Amino acid sequence: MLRMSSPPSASAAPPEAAEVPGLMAALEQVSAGRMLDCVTELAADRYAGRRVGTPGGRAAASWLAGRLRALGAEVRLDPFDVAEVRELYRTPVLRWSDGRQTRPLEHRRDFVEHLTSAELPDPRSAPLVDAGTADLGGCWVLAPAGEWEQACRRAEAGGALGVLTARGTDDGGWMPKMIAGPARHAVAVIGVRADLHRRLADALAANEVTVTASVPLRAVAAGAVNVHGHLPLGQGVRREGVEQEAAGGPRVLLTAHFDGVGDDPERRLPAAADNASGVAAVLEAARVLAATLTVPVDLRVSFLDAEEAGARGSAHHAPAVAPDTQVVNLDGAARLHQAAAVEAGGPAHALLAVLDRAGRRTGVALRAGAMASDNRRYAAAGLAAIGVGMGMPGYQTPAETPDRVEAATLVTAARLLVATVWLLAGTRP
Amino acid sequence: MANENTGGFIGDLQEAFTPPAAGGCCGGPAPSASQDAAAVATSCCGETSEAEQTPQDEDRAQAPAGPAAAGGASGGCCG
Repeated sequence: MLRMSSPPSASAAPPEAAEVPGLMAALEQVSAGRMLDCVTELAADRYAGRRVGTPGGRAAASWLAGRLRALGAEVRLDPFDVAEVRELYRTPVLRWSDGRQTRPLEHRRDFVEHLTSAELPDPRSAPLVDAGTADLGGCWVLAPAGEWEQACRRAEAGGALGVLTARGTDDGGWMPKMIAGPARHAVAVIGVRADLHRRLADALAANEVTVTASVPLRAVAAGAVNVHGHLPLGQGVRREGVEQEAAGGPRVLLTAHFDGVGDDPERRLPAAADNASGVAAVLEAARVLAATLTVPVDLRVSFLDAEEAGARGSAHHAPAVAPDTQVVNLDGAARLHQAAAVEAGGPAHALLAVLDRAGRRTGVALRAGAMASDNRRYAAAGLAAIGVGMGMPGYQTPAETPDRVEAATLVTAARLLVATVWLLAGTRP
Repeated sequence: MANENTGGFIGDLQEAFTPPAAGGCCGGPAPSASQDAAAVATSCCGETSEAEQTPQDEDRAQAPAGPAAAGGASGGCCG
C-alpha cells in the first residue's frame, strides 16, 4: 500500500522534492498485475530456474529482450563466458546404517551438496569415522560442528572419501542452493542437517556406522548473456532516434539480474523472488517511465546474467558503462519488511540523496543494509551505484514460488524506482 | 539526515556506504546459528579476488550479506 508523506522538515527535504509535476500520475500507472505476470512467466517450468548457460536461462533472456523491445527500447544482447559454475547433474545420495537400520536422507531437506565438494559421481559406501581418528583412509569423516575446514584438510591428507558437516535450514526446512563460492576440496563434502548430524555423532559413539553417499557436482563453463535496453526518454528526444543522447539529461541505469541457481535434477527452484521479482519491478518502472517522463533522461535497463555465479554479468558490463551513469540495482522485491535494504557504493552521495527523497515521496522506508549483489561491481568500477533489496521469501529453495511474491512489494519497488528516475531527471549533475 | 517519516531513510543516510553485514547472500536471508561459521564466511556473490577491492568487496568476503527485510532464517550460503 502506497502512502504519500510530506517531507519532515525543510532541511531534510530539498525544495524540489516538495512537488514534482507529473510524478503522482506516473506512480499511479504502476501495475501490480503486469509485474505478477512477469514473475509468473520467469518462474515457469520452461525456464527451469534460469541458471546461467542453460536453455532456460537463454529463453529468459530472449523473453526479456522482447519485453524491452515492446517498450520501444533499443535492445542489445551481450554474450560472455563464465567459468566454474557448479552444476548438480544428478540428485545426490546420502544414507547411513548402524547395522540394524538403514536411513535414507532427502536431498535439500536432510542434506545438501557443499560448494567446496569434490565431484563424487556415484554412491560410495564406507565406514564413518570421527575426525580425530588416526587412519581416515577410504572413510567418511564426521566433522565436528564449526571445524569442517580442518576436517576437510585432514580428510584430504588422510585419503578419506569425504566429510559430513553440520548445516542449518531456512524457516521452511530447506537448504538453499548456491552455484558459486569458495575453491573446491579434493574430497567430497556434504552438509547434513544439524539435528541429523548430532544423531550421526550419537550413533557413531555407540555403534559402527556405514555411510553411502554421492555428490554429482561438477564445475562447468557457461555461456552467459546480458540483456541491455536503451530508452532515451523525454520530450523531443525520441524524435531524434534512440542513438541520440538525451541532451542534458542524466544517465541512469536500472539493473536486476534475471538468472537463478537453476532447478535441481528432480526438483523445481522457480527463483520467483531472487530475482524475477526485481526484474518485474525494473521492467514495470521502465514501462511507466517510457510512457510518462517528459524531461530528458538517458535511461538504460540491464537485465544481468550470472549474478548467482558470482555477479559476473555486472562484472562484464560495468567497465563499459559511461562514467557519469548512476546505477540502481534491485535484487529482491518480494516481501518488504519494515524497510528496504540499501547499500551505496562509489560516488553515490547525490544518488543516495535522491533515493531518500524518492522514498519520502512514495512512502517507502529505507535502511542501510548490505546488498551483496551486482551494485558492487558497478561501484567497484567507479560508478555511483546503489543496491536495493525488498525481501526474498524462499530464497534459493523450491519454496521460492510466485505465490510468495507480494504484489504490494512489487508496487512499492517499482514506484520507488520511478520516483528516483523522475527526481534524477529534475536534478542536473 | 535523520528522518522520522514513514518514507525515506531511517537513520543516517551515510550508513548506506558502510551497511552492517546481515548474513545471507545477495539480498537473501541471514544464516541460522546452526550453520558452520566457516561456510558462511566465504564469498557467495562473487569471487573477491577478481573484482576491484572496495570496502563492500571486503564485506562480501568476510560475511555474505543480505537485508534484514528478506524475512526468515536461512541455512546460509556456501554449503
